[in-house]
Amino acid sequence: MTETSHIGMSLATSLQRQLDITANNIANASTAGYKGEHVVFESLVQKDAGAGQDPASFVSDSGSYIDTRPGALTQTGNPLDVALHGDGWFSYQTPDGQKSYGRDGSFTLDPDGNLVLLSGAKVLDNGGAPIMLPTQGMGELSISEDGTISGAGSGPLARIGVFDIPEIQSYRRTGAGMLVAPEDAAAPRPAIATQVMQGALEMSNVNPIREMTRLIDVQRAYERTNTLMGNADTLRRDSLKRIGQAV
Amino acid sequence: MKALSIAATGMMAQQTNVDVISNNIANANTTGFKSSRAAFQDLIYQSMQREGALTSEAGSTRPVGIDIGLGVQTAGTVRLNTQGGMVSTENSLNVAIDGRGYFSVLMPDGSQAYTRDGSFQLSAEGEIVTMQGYQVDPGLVVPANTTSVDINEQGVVMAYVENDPVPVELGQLSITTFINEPGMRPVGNNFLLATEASGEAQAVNPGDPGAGLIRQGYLEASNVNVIQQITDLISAQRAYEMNSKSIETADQMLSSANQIR
Repeated sequence: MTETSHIGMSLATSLQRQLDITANNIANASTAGYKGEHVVFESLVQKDAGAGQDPASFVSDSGSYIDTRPGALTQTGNPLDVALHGDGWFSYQTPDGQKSYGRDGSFTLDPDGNLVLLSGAKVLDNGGAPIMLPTQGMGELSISEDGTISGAGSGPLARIGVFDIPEIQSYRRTGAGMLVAPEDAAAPRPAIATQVMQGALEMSNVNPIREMTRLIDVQRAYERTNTLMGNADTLRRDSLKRIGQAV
Repeated sequence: MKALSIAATGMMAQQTNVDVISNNIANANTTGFKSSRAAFQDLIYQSMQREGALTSEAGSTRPVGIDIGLGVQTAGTVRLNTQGGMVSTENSLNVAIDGRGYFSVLMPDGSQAYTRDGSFQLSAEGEIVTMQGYQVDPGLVVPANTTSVDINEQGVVMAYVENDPVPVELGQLSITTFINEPGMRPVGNNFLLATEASGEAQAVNPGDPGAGLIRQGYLEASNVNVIQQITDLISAQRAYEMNSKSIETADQMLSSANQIR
């Protein structure tokens, strides 16, 4: 009997987490390069239910995965806004030296001429070194489809590193659009079929309709499981009352 | 249930977004104004279950974890430093910079400010000043009985005095470039200040490599794309509403949890 409530509770806990993840997706609907997060549910079947009994199965949210579909591209006209068209990832070096990956292409220059993200993380080139541009005498920068940066009349200066990471799901999110490789991960390979587009930004890939319907789903499922737990409680109370009367 | 605070960060971010967009629209007709964009980034993540954790003694690992993000934050407002349109005014003291660079202005407190607004005037002493009366570097003085002023592409100012057919060369308007223009701090009145982030001010002459040219008789219009701003405003409003739905859902779920018995 207690199991009924526990099964309901396992669902309620998972649904609360799913609501948190959905709320985070919606909150990041305007974050450049943001990739939505989704939850995987699985049933956790009780191992020894006892002779002649059906094993109860509990709900468990076994993991969440990153939705890697591309977000919409918007033209910004800013020469240092860069979007990726394809499956590749930019690589960055955070101020504390951590190497990470992401799709945020809203770059700017720091006073020393480093190409950086707004968070201050340095953008790395295809060899894994921070990109540094000359600080004087540069006109408009142009960035070609393969990521090569060149100044007006100065020839190629650097090449933005773009990498293919098929095992991206095992990477850990650390905020500010960053994904960090697990310890045993293979080094990402240079991207093959990803184009770099200058003057555009990849927006968040959060799909508003899907997130809204998920909110409704989560809420109704939560109400259902609460009703179930309430019913189980009533049942237990009734049976205790009747047993008491019989004695 | 963190959804309440997560959605609150989302609503605050959209408020910032609307503030920035409103300022852009309000300045659509401001000379030399550069439109800004609020840029966002996701906050830190709480790992409920770590990816890569061992799932058996045989060494199998969890391929994905549960990472719950805690919302969104404003990373900064980025000024878009593209060229604004050139508006002909036929005023000989109106100048526009075609390309990179800023006019340097001496503020009353002795500090330097920078501007793209070239709607200059003459002071009572004949000095070239901004609309506020502040001296424009390098402090050129136009002689009293000047009939016309000519400013060429390199910013050299020449005055035709009385009936003399040969102009008097007064000096050259210098301009200043910065490595990181979005890092300059706007202070109103079309002025921007140099900061740690913008890098050192580099005084150059108009037409030098990487610097713009001077166009006399023109003013630079703002680079605000009003249609873009309006569509951004619509999507900001919808995103705000979506976040409020998250709050509503979290609230109703908590209320249903309270009704279990």
